Amino acid sequence: MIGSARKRLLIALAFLLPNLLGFIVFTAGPVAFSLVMSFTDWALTRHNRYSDTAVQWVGIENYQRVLVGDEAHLFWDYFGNTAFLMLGIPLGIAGSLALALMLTALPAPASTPRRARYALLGIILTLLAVAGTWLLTTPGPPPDPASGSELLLRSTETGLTDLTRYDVARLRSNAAVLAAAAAGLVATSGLAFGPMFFRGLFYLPSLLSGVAMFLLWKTLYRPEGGLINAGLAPILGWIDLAARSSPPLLWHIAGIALAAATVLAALFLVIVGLSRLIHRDSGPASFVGRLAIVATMLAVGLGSAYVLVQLPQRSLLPSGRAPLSQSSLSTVIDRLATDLPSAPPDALRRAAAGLGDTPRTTDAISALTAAAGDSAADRAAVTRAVLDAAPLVYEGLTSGDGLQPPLWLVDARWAKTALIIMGIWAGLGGGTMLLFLAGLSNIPPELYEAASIDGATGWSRFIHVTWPQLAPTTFFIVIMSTIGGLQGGFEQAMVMTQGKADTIVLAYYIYNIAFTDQFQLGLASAIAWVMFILIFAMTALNFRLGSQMTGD
Amino acid sequence: MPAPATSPRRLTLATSAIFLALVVLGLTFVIPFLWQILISLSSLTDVDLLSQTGFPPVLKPGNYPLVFEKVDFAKYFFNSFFVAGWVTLLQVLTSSMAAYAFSRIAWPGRDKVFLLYLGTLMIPGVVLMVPNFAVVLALGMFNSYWGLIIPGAFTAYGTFLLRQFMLTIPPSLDEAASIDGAGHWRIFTQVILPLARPGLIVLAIFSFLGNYNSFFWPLILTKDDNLRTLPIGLLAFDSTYGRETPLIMAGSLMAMIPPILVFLFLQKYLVRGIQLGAVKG
Amino acid sequence: MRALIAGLIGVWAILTAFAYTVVLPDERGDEALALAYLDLGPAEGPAGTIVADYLAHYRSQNPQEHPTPEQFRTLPDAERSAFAALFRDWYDRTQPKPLADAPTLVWSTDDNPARRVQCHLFRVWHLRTFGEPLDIATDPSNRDTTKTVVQCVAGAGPDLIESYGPSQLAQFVDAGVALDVTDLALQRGFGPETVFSAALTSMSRDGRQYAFPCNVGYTILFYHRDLFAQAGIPEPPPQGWTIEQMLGAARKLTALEASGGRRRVGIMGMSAWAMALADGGVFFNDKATASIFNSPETVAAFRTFQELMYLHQVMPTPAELASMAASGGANMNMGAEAASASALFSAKICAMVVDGRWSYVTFARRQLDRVIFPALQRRIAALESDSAREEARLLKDAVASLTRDVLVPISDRQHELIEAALTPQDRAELLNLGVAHIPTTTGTPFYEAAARVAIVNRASPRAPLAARFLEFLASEEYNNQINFTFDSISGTPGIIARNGISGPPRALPGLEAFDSPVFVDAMDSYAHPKQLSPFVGDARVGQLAGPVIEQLTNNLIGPAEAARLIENRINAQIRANLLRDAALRALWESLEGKPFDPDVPLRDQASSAPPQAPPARPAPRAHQPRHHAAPALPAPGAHLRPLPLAAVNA
Repeated sequence: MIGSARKRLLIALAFLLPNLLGFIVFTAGPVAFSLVMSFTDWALTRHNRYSDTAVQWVGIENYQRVLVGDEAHLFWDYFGNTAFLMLGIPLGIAGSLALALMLTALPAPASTPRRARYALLGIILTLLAVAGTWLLTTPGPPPDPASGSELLLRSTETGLTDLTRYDVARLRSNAAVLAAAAAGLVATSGLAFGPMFFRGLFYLPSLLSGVAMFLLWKTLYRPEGGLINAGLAPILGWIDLAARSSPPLLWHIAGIALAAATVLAALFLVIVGLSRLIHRDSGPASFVGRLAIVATMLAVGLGSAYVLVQLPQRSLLPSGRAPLSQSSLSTVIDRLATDLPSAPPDALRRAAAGLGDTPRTTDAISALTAAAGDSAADRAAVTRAVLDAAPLVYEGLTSGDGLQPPLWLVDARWAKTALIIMGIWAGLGGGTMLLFLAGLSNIPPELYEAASIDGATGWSRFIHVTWPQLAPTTFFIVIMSTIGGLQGGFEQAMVMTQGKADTIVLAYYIYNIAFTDQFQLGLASAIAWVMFILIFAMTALNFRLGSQMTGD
Repeated sequence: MPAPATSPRRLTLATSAIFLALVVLGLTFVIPFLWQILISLSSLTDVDLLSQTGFPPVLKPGNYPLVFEKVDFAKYFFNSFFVAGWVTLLQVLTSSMAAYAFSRIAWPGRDKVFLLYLGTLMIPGVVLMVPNFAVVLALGMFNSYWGLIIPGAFTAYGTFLLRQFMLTIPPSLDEAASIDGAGHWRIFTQVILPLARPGLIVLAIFSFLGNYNSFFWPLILTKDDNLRTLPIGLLAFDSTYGRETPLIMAGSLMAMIPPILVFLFLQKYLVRGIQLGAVKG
Repeated sequence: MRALIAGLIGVWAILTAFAYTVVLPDERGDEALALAYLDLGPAEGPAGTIVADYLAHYRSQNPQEHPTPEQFRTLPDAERSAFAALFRDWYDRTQPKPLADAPTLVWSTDDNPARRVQCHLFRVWHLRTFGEPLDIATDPSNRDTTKTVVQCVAGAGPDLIESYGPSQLAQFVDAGVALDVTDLALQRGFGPETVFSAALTSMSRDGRQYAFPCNVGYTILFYHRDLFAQAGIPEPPPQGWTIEQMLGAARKLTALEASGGRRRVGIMGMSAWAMALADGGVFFNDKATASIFNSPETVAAFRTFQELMYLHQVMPTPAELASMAASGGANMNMGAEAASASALFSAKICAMVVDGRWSYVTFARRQLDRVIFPALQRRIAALESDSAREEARLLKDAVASLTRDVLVPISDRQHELIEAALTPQDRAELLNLGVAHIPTTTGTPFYEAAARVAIVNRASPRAPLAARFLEFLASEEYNNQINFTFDSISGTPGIIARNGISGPPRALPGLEAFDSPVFVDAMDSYAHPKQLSPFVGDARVGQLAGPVIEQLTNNLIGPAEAARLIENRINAQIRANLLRDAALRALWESLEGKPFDPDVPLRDQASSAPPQAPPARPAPRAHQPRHHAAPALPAPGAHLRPLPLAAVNA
């Protein structure tokens, strides 16, 4: 380094000055202001330029309220939602890194003639695929209108069109041809332009403005007829078939085995991490990162295990009621004896016996109503009795008739998962991937050469060269993702669920405190600073590690 | 670059597998956009139908000109592009200088000041809105291009990002340069900046996109129609009067065109940066 | 790299020059004002004199006559702009100040076609009333008040602030942003006596007036008359019907449709909240010191609400609804969720829907696209071959206007031609809608209504000018525009009594029910303002109660637990607020007349009396509107006064 400490400080200040000035005015100033205000009762409705009321110093009261006081239940509730949504972050980062590595591994087509040859091949394949799809799906000539064209769809709104079976087949054929063309186009462009094309393609979601993306995914997530569930339905159909044609025990064992394997793997990872921590092989930050990965793994593994265990029990109703058993049916009949004295108990019992071992609640209601005399009053009494006897259960993937895809944004148990999936889609090829790509390109090739002289290939080269060299980039990504995860989710909740289905996150909460009712900006600042402390603790850990690793 | 540096440039089994995986993954990225295009081409009344037919019964390409007819879309386009461009230029300039000071010069208190920078990123912006607005108003920048550009030009985010990139440049390089008698300014412009090019390009892309699509700050900082940016302009289709989904989709698809061009333009330099780094490093 | 940076800076320098010379000075205000002058015409007053001078000047320069204001209004936009440009040039040459120097009011509201029309009406009205040009522009806000609040508390907000309902008004008033217009309103005749009583709390606080209603918001019951006729069910009586009667009809109307295999549902849009309030549930006690929501009435209403979906299955569950529609149609004042309800209703997938008068736009579009336009195309083809070219041209014009905007008025002759073009088959295809009061358990209708109002920003240098806008909101022009274009109804019963709620544009065939007097009756006789408590914020109430209502709607908890949970959460919040805030506690104690004891459950120590229901309409109107001669309102249900809530509870 050049010069004395004092001189270095002056030079550094000169470099820093343009940024520092703006930073102090537009960032540091307001931040300091919000810190001060977090210890006051600042509320915009009482304290603003129109009022003489002075802001009162309340000490740590705001912090108390948030952490243990009257706001605590909301804060921790929303913190839980936020943390759940953040489970997607490790998945997203790992995915982005994998994508970046794949893109770097994919050679760009070297010469223009080779490129042209690839493109030609791709175009021919695409044309074949399009023609094939068209031949397979096109519905042939339109049916004779006189022979009656069956209406299949009614427009849900003011639409110009009621569509016949033929119309729908024709439109679906269009869609299939379009999909085939798209697949061909992707393959062709990939062949011709290589990584450059994929890089742009994966980056596309980041170019789309937020609201449009949320609206788009809202239509994709529609429970019935949404593109995602339309794709899931046949897959679930196969699984359903498999579940039907095999003993339930098998699925229980599979589920339990998966759960056990997940827990064991998690324990192993934690123990290895602890031992490294104790032996100072790695810093606390990498242990925290390890914990995040373990948490994600546990969530995914245990969730899947639960679904597996639930699979054989396919007869759950969409309304979330468990199927009835014969014993619960006799409870129902006992209750009907008092609720509905006019109904003949023997007829009820016979009807119940005819229902099989685990009847669906709707079947039970209609059978029992018929046996009871079939009036509206009977139906009401029977329905109440049956629904009371059928407890609410976890819906899982299962429901009434076979496996049903989830009610993505409606069901509180799926909404957050839906948001995570959307987040991964949007972020996988986005900034994170770009940063990894840039980071990878900054790794000097001689390091790889040195490593290959040492005989390192594949995984060991990744662990010993790539990963340490990416450390500053990864550090940045982890920090920024954590910050983004804790502060984000506000617009999603606004547009996609209107805060329903348990999707309110901390950002939404702060916003509500700061900009509704009394505009309690003091309290909102306190919540913001609590979040700051959470993030800062994690960053400080990482920061120490980052300094160690870059030898700085 | 790790793999291709040694492997010959032809399709091996591994690269074919990777290629196939990328194509499949690419399709999952293309299909939602295809869907968006189909929505943008259907009439409002058929949007709900689309999930069952997969294709609009009546194609309405007229939605695209309609966006320009209903709002002053061209003006919003210009404003977004113009403001995002200035912010990007200024931000890359100020951030790279600050990052140099944080990564290449050892001065007392450096890490503490840097932590301060970093810390400000961790405060949710919602609570900074009121003081921030007061500052902009006091500086007389409310309802002007200045207010849209200047506050975005000095970010801790950009400084942090570039510092991380500059940290990966081996210290031996600037030591060698300083032995050659180069001052800090020359080391900065002639050694560090070219080597940090991927970082600069990445920051430029992020900064441009972030400001191009930013919604809240321009909304609060303007009241004149002539200053509105694209996301605010698209509000007209999502007012309490109704949500015109096809027009929102058409508008946001068109809004994507400039960022796509900027991305394509800049990614060329990203690649060159990679090769340059390989030669010089 | 250096070349790249230099190039970019160069390009952006050029763009900057472009921005400051072309984009920023782009002024529309003066053209809008010129149009206002020409629409006003040579009327009385200083502005009319200016127009008269201009017309004299025009005559001296041009061989043809200038179009009269009536003709001018019907010209295409391009021609109007051309005339306006001529006028502006003359004005800037002859008048002391150029038109562009006229002050401009900024009105924070959402940007939509109706607002643009209203801005134009204001410019003309202001010229006529005050004789000088005053421009107005809208500034869009996000869906809540964040933008406006941030700007206002720093002293830079819009001149006119839009606010919805009593709680938002309270925020602006408490923050000191709202200008007190009480005295001005009395003097200029837009005081509280001109407004529906249910809208009063949306514009006044503690006896002072701060705003004036743009319109009032509430929802009402629409039904398909043909479906009722097919099923042989009598239509709901105009004075309201009971839930039990509605249920009987809904059960018969809920069916599997033969075509399309889609289930038809009986009713949509009933809300747990509204049902509880209508059936005697009361949110706060008479002093608003505690929530008394957990009552047998609330539980019964919640049970009925659940049974509509899960027992009688006449209303779609949230899961069914999410499958039915995800994207919104045109719908004023409501989010996309409500829009999909009216969309499903217009496809006859549900037989009855609770929706607002603004849903006319959705239904009219359906009516036009599906029936009227095809019928007119056939008719136009026939007329052209019959060489009845004049009629064909009129119909073509009507199609063009209605395609652009369903709210564009067309002539009576065109209406007649449209009616004549519809064959009996077309008529059978038309939506044929009826409107009735919302069903309640007691049969007495109940509406929780709020008004969208405009507030004057106290800090604005143009505040006195902005206050004129409130006067404009009380004018006939504005209120007729709101009423005639189905933007719910205006907040001014006097003007409605004088002019009715139907005018150009006339309702399309089959949609005549949108002019029904039931809309006015609902506001006049059965509307109640929302209850607020100074001890807990309205948004917080929503935050605490929302998830419970959601669970109730999804059948995850029972009615009794929902009512209990909501009340407990609200009262726990009030208790926490009282413990923290000494001033609030003092207010509570002065209202209750006894000390607050944190160890006793709030409901046990607070008053348990429900509030006295205020008369739906203040009996004597102290001040008549300036224009006088308001005949009594001929609403058919007007004799039915709502029972006091206490009586309902008993």
